[in-house]
Amino acid sequence: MPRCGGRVLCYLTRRMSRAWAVYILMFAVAGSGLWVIFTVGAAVRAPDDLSGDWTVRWETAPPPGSGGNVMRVAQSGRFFTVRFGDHDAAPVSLMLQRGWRGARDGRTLSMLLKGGPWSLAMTGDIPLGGDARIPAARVDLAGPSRHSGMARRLKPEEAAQSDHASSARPARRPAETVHAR
Amino acid sequence: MHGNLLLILLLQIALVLALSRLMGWLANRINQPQVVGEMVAGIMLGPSLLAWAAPELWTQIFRPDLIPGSGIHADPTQYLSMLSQVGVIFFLFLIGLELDPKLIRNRGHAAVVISHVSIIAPFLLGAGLAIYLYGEVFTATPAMRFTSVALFMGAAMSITAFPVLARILTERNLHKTKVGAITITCAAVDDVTAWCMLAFVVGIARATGFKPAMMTAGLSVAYVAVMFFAVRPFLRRLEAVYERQGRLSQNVVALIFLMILASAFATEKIGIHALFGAFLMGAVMPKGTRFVRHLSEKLEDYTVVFLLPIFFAYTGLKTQINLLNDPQLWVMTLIVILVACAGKFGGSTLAARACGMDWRESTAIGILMNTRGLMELVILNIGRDLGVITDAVFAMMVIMALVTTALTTPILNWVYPQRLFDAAPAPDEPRAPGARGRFTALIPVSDPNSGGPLVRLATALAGPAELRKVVALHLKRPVDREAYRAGLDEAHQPADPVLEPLLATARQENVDVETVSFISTDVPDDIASVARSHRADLVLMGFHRPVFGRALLGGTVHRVLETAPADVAIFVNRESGDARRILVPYLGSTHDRLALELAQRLARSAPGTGGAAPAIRVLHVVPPKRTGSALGAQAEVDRVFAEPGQDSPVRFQVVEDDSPVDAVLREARSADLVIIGIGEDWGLESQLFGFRPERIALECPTSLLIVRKFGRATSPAAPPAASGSTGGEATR
Repeated sequence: MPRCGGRVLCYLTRRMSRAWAVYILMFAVAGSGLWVIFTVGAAVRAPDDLSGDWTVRWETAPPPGSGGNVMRVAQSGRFFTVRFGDHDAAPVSLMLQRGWRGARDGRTLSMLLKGGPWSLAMTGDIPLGGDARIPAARVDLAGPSRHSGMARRLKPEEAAQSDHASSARPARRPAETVHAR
Repeated sequence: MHGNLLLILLLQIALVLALSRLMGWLANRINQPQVVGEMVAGIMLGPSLLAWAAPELWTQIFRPDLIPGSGIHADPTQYLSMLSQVGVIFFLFLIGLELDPKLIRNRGHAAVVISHVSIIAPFLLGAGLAIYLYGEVFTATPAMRFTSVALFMGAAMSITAFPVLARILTERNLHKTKVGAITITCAAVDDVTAWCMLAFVVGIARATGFKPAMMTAGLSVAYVAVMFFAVRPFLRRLEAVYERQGRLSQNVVALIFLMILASAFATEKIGIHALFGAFLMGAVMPKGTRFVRHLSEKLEDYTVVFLLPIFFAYTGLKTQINLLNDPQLWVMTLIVILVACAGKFGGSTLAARACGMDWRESTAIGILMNTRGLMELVILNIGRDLGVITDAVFAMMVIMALVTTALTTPILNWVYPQRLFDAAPAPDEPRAPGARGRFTALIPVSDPNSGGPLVRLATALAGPAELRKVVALHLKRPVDREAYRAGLDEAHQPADPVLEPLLATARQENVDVETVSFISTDVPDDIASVARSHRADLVLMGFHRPVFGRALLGGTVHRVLETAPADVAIFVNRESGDARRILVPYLGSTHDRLALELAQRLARSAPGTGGAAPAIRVLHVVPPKRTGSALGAQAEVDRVFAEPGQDSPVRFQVVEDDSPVDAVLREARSADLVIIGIGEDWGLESQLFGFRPERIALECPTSLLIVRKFGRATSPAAPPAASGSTGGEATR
């Protein structure tokens, strides 16, 4: 490929200035490069969005140390930080495991998150329409203790109220975080 | 606004300003751009440090609304956010204002090619990186479609920080070199292209379908046309009003502010972001005129000193480095940094090389173009607000911006050291004053009032016109404003006001003076460099009383005395009139001998200037009853003054005194000028623990020329063994 590029450059430089040759080649590379990127990228998928505040109706005892029924999920792709309770609750760092199913796979979301001693399974129905974010999910938390319940995603205004009610604090020190591996 | 909330907001702003100035100053101390310190200050105030180390304190300062019973119900950081947005709008206007099309025109094809490659290569790599990152750290939301993410990552990777780059170039005096000229042109092109690209990306990210996207595109074209064909001519008329009135009235300033806000409002409504409107408003302003200069001066301090640190702090508040709590995320951060450098540095370097520049120059261009600084943060904030990137990606990219900006100066110093720009002889090259028959006097000036007397003295010392060269040097301390000016056409730069009085005197005296003026971060070092490159025989400078202490020969003067590769003379002007009576204290050191030589030069040049030769008195101070030791000194004086055509009356006077300093101060009362070599005996050389009494310099009632001979100083001549002197006075 470099030899081919060099030949093209040599041919072009015989015909025009070296700067013009570089210029034309660069735009050709840019056009074809973008085409390749968008073609390949069309097949890549990002994890479905679970971020936000949820209210959980626990069927078992709530997780130890959780101060209420709120579950706060911060998500950056496959990397999650989950708090059971208000912002004072210790965050749990979890990572989405391969083999998850989301909106592009059908109408059911199924995700398994793992981090430290904990694993969190979330399953739910994906609604029809533009917004693929699931409104409700079944939550199964397993680790040193087991907890199950039904979670409902809070609307933004409900989340704001919940924020104030819980007298939220900034993120805790990482030392208190259970790291995902 | 609630009273308590106002107090909180004022406290926040005070903290932000103080810390950002402090960190900016610290960054400067370690040869980093100020922006690096300000970025770090912003991060320090956010959840990554302050909220992590002292969560209670952080909450009290930044989120008191979260404390039950605080009485504050609104989030104060929202106000910080608004202030920072306004700050960035005006900053982008300034960036557009300083963008001179002349930079892009007539700079050769190479600059245009390098600049386009330096955008395309990182854009492609950034978009390509999105293929890997999309499944890892992005989430499937409507705003985070792959197309938007890929385009945004490409745009974010291809930005160059024009202001930081300009500042680095001016600080190193590279902006007039080939590398500097090409780099600044590339950065200007990058700026325009990147903001246009970003407007496109924002349009794509916000578009909800084909029809709205077409609508945005059509309105954008119409908006740009209005700016160029309606707003621009109107601004020219405003400029004409300014020229007629001779001042920038508050009404005109208010009108321009309104136009900035209207332009930002229009682009925000169109869907291509308010910042693009502010930038384009600056870009269509008339360039290189007093009008624009005056306007930017009015805006810069408030924007750069007050509003931008708030933007940094607000960015820091959103930067959660603790989200990168997994080794995989740090590996991805490293990949982001590597890809950013490969695209920008690699692309620019290879393009420059392909355009025929040598490897070292190409690498220097690549390193400079890799600076991202504040502009990257602006783009990242837009991406985060649009929801195109997640908080973890935001943190990664902020780290990348910080790393690439901080790396620029040290790597540039390593690859392209300053000495390569100095086409100068080696520092230790032996020289003899006037050995080439031509005497060069270098006059560093910082106080405009000292310029006139210094040029008169330098002319007298340097001798006849055909054998003299006088160079006036003004080294300017870097200020933030210079960063934006670096790329402007030299023709638009006003004459250096500091050198103007010196040049006026030179014109009166009919003396040719070469002027050198540039920005310096190390004044003594640059004086030495200029002395070396001009092969100066004498560096003649005034003294500057330091802010603290009374020492006349401290600070810059002290370092020039230590480092200048030429003889140095410090002129302490006590305005004692024309030098008709010159006193030269002499004890025999090499510095004293230089004092004799300079006195002889003054005597020799006097007839040439139409005046009478001054009366020179050489004062030799000996301990009581040791007048016999004066013989060796007298022989030296005879030798110095035994020049053909010398008709100046030189009187050799031997004085017995235990204190040479007291003797000189006593005799100086009957002189107009004292020329004295630096040395311990005169209390002018560093003594115990560097203490320098400087009594002569402080108490001498007449003007004083303190001289230091270049090279290793010898101790005062030992008293010769010869005896039989009659002592007393010897007059020639």
